[in-house]
Amino acid sequence: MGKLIAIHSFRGGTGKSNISGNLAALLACKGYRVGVIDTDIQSPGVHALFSFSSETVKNTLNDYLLKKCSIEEAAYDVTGSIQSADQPVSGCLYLIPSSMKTGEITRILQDGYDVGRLNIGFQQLMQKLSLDYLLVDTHPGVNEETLLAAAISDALLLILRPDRQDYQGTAIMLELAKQLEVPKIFLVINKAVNQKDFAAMTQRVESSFGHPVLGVIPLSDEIAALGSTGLFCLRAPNHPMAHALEKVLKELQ
Amino acid sequence: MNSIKIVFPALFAALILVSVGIVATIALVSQTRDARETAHSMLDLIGGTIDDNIYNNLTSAYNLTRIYAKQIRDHKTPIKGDVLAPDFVHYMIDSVRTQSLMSRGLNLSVSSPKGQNLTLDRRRTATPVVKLSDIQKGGQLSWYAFDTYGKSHEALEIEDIHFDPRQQESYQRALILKDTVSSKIHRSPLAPDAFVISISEPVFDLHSNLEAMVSTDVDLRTIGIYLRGLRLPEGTVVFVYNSEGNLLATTLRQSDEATGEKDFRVLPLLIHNRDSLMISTAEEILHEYGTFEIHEKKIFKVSSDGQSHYVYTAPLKNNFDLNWKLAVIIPEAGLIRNLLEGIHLTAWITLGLIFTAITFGLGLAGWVIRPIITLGTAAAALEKNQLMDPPLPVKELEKDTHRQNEFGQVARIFLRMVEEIRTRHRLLEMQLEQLRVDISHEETHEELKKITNSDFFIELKERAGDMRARRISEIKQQASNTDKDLESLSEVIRTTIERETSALSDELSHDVIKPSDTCEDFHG
Repeated sequence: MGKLIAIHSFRGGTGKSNISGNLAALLACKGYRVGVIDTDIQSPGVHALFSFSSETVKNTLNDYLLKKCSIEEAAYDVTGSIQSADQPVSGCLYLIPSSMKTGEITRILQDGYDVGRLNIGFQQLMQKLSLDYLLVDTHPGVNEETLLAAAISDALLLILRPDRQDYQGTAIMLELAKQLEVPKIFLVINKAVNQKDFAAMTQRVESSFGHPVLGVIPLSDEIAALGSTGLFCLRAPNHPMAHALEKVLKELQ
Repeated sequence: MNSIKIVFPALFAALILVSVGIVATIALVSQTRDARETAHSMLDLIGGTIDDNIYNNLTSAYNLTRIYAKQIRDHKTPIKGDVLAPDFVHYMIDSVRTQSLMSRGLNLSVSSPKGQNLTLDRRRTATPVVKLSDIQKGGQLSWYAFDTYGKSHEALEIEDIHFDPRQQESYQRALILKDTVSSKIHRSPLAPDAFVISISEPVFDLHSNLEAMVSTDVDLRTIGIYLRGLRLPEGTVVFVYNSEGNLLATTLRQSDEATGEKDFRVLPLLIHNRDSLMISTAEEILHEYGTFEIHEKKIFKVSSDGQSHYVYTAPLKNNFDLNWKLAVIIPEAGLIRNLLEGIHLTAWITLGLIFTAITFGLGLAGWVIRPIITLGTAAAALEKNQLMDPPLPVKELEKDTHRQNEFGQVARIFLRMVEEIRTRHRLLEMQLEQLRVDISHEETHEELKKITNSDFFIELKERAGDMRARRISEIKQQASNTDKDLESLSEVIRTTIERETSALSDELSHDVIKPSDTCEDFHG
């Protein structure tokens, strides 16, 4: 049975989808069968990292939740998008996108959906696609589907930016995760400035929250320039972001 | 600190003021010089014209004397010492009338060595008269009109004086010099209320004996009348004076009292005159040249009653050694009114230009210094670490960046600097914040309490527990199934191995195996 890893943040814009996509790609490169599911139905973003457009998608997570298709029918093998002559991929990468169509997003938000079905979908995906890892990109904040995904995950990866608001929100999320008895909780700090302070910052965050910080990703113009149009770690394997995510992978494995 | 807001416009205004002032001063000096030159030219013209006319006046007296001296000399019938002979008187009357040479300012006298005198005169009467006197008969003057002489025995007027022409200065000098001479200024017995000069010429017979003395009196008042008749600029005063400083004639109508001379027999002095302008001029002449003996033309300025005047003075030309001087005094305002108006106009235009230039200059200065002030304000705000707008005037700086000049360039650079500082400041704040890890436990506790006490969370927790349990159970079931499968598989493998081993043992124990067959089977 594969591992279910929830990737979450208290606020939006922390780089959650970007980290999810990059982690999934790095795992696939290491030979694992990996799935990444975009449960941020309100503002989906992971698909963009794999150059996935709404025209090429037939079924999405929205269709599964509305019982229009099975979960594996909403899964797309995107291994080819991360493969290149320089970088052969021995594993396998599946993407389960949310709908990018505004009308469908609005409808599902208005009508609602069975959150329990989402959990069933996770299990089915891991079984039917024989996944080693299923990465769940969640909607930020405190809501039912996010907390449920976190509760049933093997590990919760909390992404935060190093500012007061995120520190405060993350503290709340950590406490909730503890109460939900999430087995493993890790922290990743994104968009940090001044690399000289990273060690001191890591130490302070770990001592304040009592959970390990797996990596600190610097605020980078290069990452910002790429935006959400590609997987940065594959393009710049020597960048501090790639190093930070490698450290995260070690812990997750 | 002196703000550039004050210093720059002040300097700008001062520069404009100085520049326009210099130009205006040059223009003013130039116009004033032109005015002075024009004034001199006008004074030359006026002075020269008056001089010419006075000269002509005196010359006509001279000519009159000369003409009648010659006429008497050429007369067919000798006078024989009797100038009162009716034929001769008639002859003279007819001659004067015909030739019309005698003017109101002149008279003509013919005197005999015996003391007779014949005077033809137009002065003081509406018609010309002839005045006869004989010292041997008492010297009374009997007046007869030209028209009635010889027709009526009664004289028009008899002046009871004791007139002896031989006593006249000019008579005696002409007789000595035997030539045409002029007298000094004197009061003539024939015209006691006026100062005159007499021009006399003797007429000798063939034996060089004096036959008659022809003379003409020039009444100085006629010079004054002539001067007053001139059309001169308003306020102009002209007077004729001699080297002793006596006033001889003037455009001013002056009573004896005004001349300041109580003795009517004495010529009045300029410096005793009651006219302040005349006194000022006289004093200035004395002050400048030390004497009234002026030998050449002089032009200078005098002030009187707060007004500035140009003075032209020059010796009058003449043939009689009179040594008279002319003074023409013209108010500066009258002489160069047009020029002064031009200067005033220039001054007003200059003032207008200065005002316009300063207004425009201040506007321009404002336009120029505004970005500097903005930069100064921005620099001050940066110095105080005030990076918000306002007080940091970012909008003003952004406006200035549109200027296509050095100010625009400076504004753009400064704005970029401001942005860099802001970014660095933000980064520093972020650094501080990320190191601070400031968590409010109270707030966390409050929020948690709200969430965890909610039904939603309690239910969620239960559901999550169920799901996790189910998942674990499934995993365990899956593992158990796997174990069973593995056991079954092991059993199958073990049974198969045992069966195959048993079968093989049976074959080995019952069959005779030939070595050659074995090898073949093996190889097969």
